[in-house]
Amino acid sequence: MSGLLDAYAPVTGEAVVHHLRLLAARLEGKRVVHVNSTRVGGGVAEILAKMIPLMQELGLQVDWEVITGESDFYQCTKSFHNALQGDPVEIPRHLYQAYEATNQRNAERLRPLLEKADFVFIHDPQPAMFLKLCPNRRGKWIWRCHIDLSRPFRPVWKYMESQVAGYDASIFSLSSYARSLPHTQHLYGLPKTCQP
Amino acid sequence: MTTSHPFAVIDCAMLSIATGLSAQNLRELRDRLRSVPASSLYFHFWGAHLRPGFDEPEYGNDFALWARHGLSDPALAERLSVIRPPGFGDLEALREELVEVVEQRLYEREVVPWAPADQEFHFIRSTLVVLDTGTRLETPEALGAALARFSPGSLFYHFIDALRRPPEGADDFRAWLSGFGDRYSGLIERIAGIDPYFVTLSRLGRELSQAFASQVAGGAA
Repeated sequence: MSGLLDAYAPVTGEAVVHHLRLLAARLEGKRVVHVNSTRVGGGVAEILAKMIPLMQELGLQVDWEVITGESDFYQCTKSFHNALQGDPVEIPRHLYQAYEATNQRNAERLRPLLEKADFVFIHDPQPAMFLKLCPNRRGKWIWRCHIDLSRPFRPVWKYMESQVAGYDASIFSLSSYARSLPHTQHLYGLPKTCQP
Repeated sequence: MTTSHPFAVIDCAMLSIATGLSAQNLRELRDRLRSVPASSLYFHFWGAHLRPGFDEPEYGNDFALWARHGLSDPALAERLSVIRPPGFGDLEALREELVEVVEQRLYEREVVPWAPADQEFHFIRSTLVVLDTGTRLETPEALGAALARFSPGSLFYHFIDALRRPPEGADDFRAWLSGFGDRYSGLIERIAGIDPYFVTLSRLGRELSQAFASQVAGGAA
């Protein structure tokens, strides 16, 4: 492998890298899939670009999949983003339809991979509908929300809540970003990082 | 000379889990303190030790930090900051003391202190993932030499989390050293003088290393 962890060790200390190896040993060989909406640009893509090689080096089988859509889909998810962070954005019905059609089309392509995975991480609202579209899933599905949901525009949150309530767990960056959901909500604030 | 069993080096990771409970003012804080899981008190007193950070924490626990910056009540922050978990038998006794301090402050204040809308106190609970490193150390000399390589999680597990495990009130280092009889009583006494609450884990590691170096390398008590 690349020896990326060895490159981190002089910065973090050997003990931190050993700690990661211990944690990962319990997951060795597990199939993990991350899904988001872009491979370049934006915070999520930056995180995944660095995290996935580390997870692979730690012995996990990790795939990173990206959903694709047309302009109506991206207009809808941009509106989701703004509304979930508090902007009172009214989203027209045809944009919701574009969102759902795009999720269905991408799910057709990714369903075999997602349904056999041990862990699936769905990042943000863009692919959130995948859970409902993969009825034969066998692993644990986690919604990783990078958005501040402390004061969302209610109509849009009610729609998104119906998409994410069924996940096995969710992860938020801060406790103040989380909303009450019927599953465990982990908190993981990404610390400041550097690439050696 | 060895005790009956080697020192097993354990590592741990603390998971942070939202409780969905929050407080906007001091009265709500008191009410929530009465009912939150004990693991939430544990997180807000000890969690900062395992969070990445570049500087010394301003206060030893999250309640004091919120009193200062959320409620703008420095007097309450000072009173909360001196509550040391090791001074209490268990987390329920710690809960009683917290509630008592907050109740007293509510009695003193004519107006209930409120935090701004975006500065609620969010209660978080914790759970520890315990990991066996596979490392076994046969002698205090070997343990002293290995301390510099202990991860923050190992220091936390053996020195802080141990305080709530039998034998109660003692860290794993003292518990293990006592298996050698009186031979390391000086080292045990020196370790007992280290307060884990007001120091970072890196400083704790240095203090432990110094204690072992002075008491073991220089000859046992």
